[in-house]
Amino acid sequence: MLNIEKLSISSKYDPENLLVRDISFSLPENSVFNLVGETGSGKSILAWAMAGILPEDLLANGRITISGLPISPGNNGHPDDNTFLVPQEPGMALNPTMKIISQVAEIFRWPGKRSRSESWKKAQDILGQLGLSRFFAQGYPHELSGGMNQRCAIAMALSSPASLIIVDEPTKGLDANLKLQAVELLVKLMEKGKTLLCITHDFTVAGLLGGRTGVMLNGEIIEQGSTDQVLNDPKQQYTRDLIMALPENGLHAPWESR
Amino acid sequence: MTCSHINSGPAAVELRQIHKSFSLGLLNTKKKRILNGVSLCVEPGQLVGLSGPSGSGKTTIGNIALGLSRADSGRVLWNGRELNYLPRKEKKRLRPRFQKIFQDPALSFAPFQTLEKSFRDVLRFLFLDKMQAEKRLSMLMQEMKLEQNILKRPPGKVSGGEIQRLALIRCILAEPFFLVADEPTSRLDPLVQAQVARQIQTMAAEKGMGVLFISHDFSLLKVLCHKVLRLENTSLIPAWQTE
Amino acid sequence: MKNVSTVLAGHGTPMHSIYLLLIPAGLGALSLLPGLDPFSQDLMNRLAGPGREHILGTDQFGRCILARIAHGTYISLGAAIIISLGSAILGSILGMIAGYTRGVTDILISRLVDTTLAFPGILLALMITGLTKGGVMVLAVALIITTWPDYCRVARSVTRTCSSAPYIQAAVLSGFPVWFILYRYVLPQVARPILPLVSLGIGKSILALSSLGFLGIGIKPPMPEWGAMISDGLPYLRSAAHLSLIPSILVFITVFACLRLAGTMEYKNPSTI
Repeated sequence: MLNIEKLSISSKYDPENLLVRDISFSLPENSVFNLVGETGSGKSILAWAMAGILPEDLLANGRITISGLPISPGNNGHPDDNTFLVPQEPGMALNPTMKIISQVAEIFRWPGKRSRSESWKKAQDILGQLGLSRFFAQGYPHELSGGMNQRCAIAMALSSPASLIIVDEPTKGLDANLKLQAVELLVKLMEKGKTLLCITHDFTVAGLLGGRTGVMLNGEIIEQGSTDQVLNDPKQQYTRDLIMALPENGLHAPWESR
Repeated sequence: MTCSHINSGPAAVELRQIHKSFSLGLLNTKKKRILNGVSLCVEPGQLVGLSGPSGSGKTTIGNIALGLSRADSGRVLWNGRELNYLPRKEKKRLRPRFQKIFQDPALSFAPFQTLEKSFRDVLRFLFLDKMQAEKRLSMLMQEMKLEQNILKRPPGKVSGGEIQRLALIRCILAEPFFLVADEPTSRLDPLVQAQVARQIQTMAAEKGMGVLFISHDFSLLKVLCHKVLRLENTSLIPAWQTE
Repeated sequence: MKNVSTVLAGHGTPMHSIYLLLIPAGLGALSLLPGLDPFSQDLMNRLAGPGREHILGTDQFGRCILARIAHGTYISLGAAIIISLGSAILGSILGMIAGYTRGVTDILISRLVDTTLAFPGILLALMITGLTKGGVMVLAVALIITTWPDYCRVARSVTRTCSSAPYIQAAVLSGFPVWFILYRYVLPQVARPILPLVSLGIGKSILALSSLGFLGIGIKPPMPEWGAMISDGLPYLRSAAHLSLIPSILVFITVFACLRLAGTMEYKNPSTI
């Protein structure tokens, strides 16, 4: 059970001006919360705060608990073991000088405290499950495609002991085919007992993942509910506009709404 | 694929049998072929969509069409004239009329100066009459529902949608024949994406400029473009066309 | 004192080092006063200690040490600033051209840089001063020739990385001429790493000038200069230590302040390309 109460984020130098205002939501284990909304409305900042890697000049206030255990939002120097962030561009976030299999093995080795050979075997296993063969597992991040790097990052999320996985734009830059693959991987994450917070622009992804959805505008969640309800019967005008603006719905661009 | 010449005039940009390879890595002498005999034609006022897997060379096609990078072999034609044989003076005159908007609009303006300064530089090398130029700028900004005072800010302090529209204005100021839109909306939310994409569409129709719209979002291209091409395994295949 | 300790500890802002640099700068400015003549000899009063008439005493020819120090500072510091600014400007311009144009120009400039770097700097300076009549300007030119490649390499690599940035591409597409792109769009990025290097360069050229002066091939006597003054004072180290000591301390303070200035400037300049 993930519980967030009144989470606010502001700049250290300007505490009055809130970048993220009074975010509260909760979701049960093995489920997903989709965060959609405006570019620059503070979705990524929220993810950083929850993962404990907020930039130093920002300040977070509020309470986050994961299955009763409190984690401190913001940045206290050592990120919490209970959260794992899959960043926006996995290709950039992976270590370019290490083979991807050793990067995955590292997670078993250090937080997991296992022997070298065992962790390599486990890493091989998990990459295999995600469809990365032995050949590709020996590659370096820059030798693999964006989709493969994405899978590698998700493999790391799967192998980490964290129970809350935050994915920031998991389908950015992926074409339709790879997008479906990425969603399947995320569903697999949930099946393995992880709780998921998925930040996305893509309503199709939210629809496929299900769970609950929150719509963010100007640092606030203006609407939340089950994904079905938000997508099919939105209460707020902004959400309606967002949905009508999708290419599938005709790419409508109402200027007045902003 | 050759130009069908629906309109009487020459195509805004035409690529004929473009080949391009890259060498990867410092010590690697092997070359990787990116484009293998790619031909492409964009008529004035036409929106051509270009999709394909990431890393397949979509941006490279755009850069070759703009003369930003050189093809290994093949011909690039601007308004029906070969780019490589254009006289120096002529090329200088045509240069600003083949434009591009970028995936990360904030990075396409110099980060160390205000937007106003960036625009002043652009106007300085485009027009002779300063008054007329500024009038055009403010008219375009009004047309795109942008407030004048956002020009006082540096590019990092303007929202994604606004700055992408400013980037579009910067291109339009030069009255381009041809525009490459390289994933202009992939960092924007659906609403802003729709606004920017529609704006590009309107401008293309009004000013009669050819647009090469690069995106991985096939459904977006289908709504927006007259025809969509797909770059797969180093060659272009037609993927969709309006009736 | 607190100021000095902050600078010594490696904290502080560039301003702290600039305060420290005010000492040699003030001395240099002193030389512009009419009363101080570094050449007039008072043979009755040789090797006098600090006193009323000559605040810092006199040297072995009875010349006022304060006057010589002031003039020496003026010449050493001035030459060092000219040398490092000159080579920074030369190096940055060539580096930006090489990094931006690539192709043949890049190869030519880069090979020139390699050739110059492969040649021992002091030897080149020795050769040039040996071939000509000498003098401050010749020395400055000689040192500029040996030090510009450092700036050139940095400027070239920064230019190469930032010339693929979208805003440079956009500038190219807007039809800006090359000089304008280099001046308005590349130079601000190049200046970030170059400015600390200039400060380092001032320190380094003071050392080079002093070494050459010490060896007797720098600025010709009786012109006062730090290195020459140190070596002139050496025979009297036991009886009149201040002859060598004062210029040594000045060299130390100035070089140290320049190095710290470079360090703090780097710290203040998180590179964002």
